[in-house]
Amino acid sequence: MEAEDKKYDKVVNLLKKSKPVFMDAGTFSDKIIRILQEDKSKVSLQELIIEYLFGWVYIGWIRRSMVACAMLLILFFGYQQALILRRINDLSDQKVNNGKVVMTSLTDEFSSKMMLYRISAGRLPGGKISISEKEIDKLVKSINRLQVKYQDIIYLIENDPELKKYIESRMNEGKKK
Amino acid sequence: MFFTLHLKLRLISTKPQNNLIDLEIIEECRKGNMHYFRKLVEITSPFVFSVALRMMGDEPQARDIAQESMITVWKAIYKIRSADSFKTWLYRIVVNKCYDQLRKRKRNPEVRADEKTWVFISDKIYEEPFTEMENRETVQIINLLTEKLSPKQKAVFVLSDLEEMSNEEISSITGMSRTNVKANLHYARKRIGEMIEKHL
Repeated sequence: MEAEDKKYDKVVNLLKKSKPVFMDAGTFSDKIIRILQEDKSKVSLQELIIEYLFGWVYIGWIRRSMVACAMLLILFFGYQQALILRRINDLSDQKVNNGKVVMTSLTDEFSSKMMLYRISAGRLPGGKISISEKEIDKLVKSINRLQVKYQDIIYLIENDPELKKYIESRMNEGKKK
Repeated sequence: MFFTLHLKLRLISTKPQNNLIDLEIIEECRKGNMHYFRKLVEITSPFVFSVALRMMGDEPQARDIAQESMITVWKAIYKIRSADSFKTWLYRIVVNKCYDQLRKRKRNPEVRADEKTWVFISDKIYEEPFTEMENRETVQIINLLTEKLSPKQKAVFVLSDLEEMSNEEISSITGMSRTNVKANLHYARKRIGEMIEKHL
């Protein structure tokens, strides 16, 4: 085993002692420099054009300004969108009268029809409004509820002389005006 | 003043060739100074060539690898943050290029077994006084000894036993763990030892 190791060491030492000799180191470096310079000149025209067109984007303060502008534009866009949405919501709540057609955003069909009839003041003939049985039931129920409330109010007024007196005085004032 | 002195400090290493790499040269190369790069090529190409030749066992291929490595160095030297890591980085480039070539060659292996080479080795190890061998002869011996080794084993053997690097350095160059380096080196030495025992 020792003899084997000795032989191994001798062979390795032989290789270690004989360092590879690099011939023509000068020519080698010249060649590398030439290759690099050729590479540089090959892309130079393309690089020049790109540099001329977009080189300014690498200037620090321009880059920072552009980032700031982009942020401002994004914020402005967001603000505009919010504003537009708000205006759309406002408009959808408004009634538009263009002469013959009245548009509203009321969702209840019956109440919108009633509203139309009231605000159009004769422009829209009543006969054109079709009402379903269900809607009539709803109307009757609503009238009944109002009647009950009205009777309650009358009962309250009758039982409270002070309130009765106050209401009468207010009503007289209204008549005088 | 201190900064200039600091720049001119030479890298501390046990390898004589590494002492030649000046921090200033690397800094200038990073700035794109070709004049300094030429200097860097002149300094580093002998040991780049040495590793490539010992790994590849073919002079023209070793020259090509050295050339490609130096071009890669120029293109990527901006990545080097400190001159201390330069040597390891350079070796890594060379070894990786050699790996690529050896893998290609693996698909088309060349037969090199030659009894005359064993006789030559036998004569040479007992030669007195010792005369340095030519590249061709060195390559012939390395090829003969490492023909049965994998590219990894070959790399570990060359870097450890011929370039005299520590396991730690080899690990950072090849990307293998230290245990892996040791295992590969053990196997490489064993195979080479067996061949020597058989023929010498």
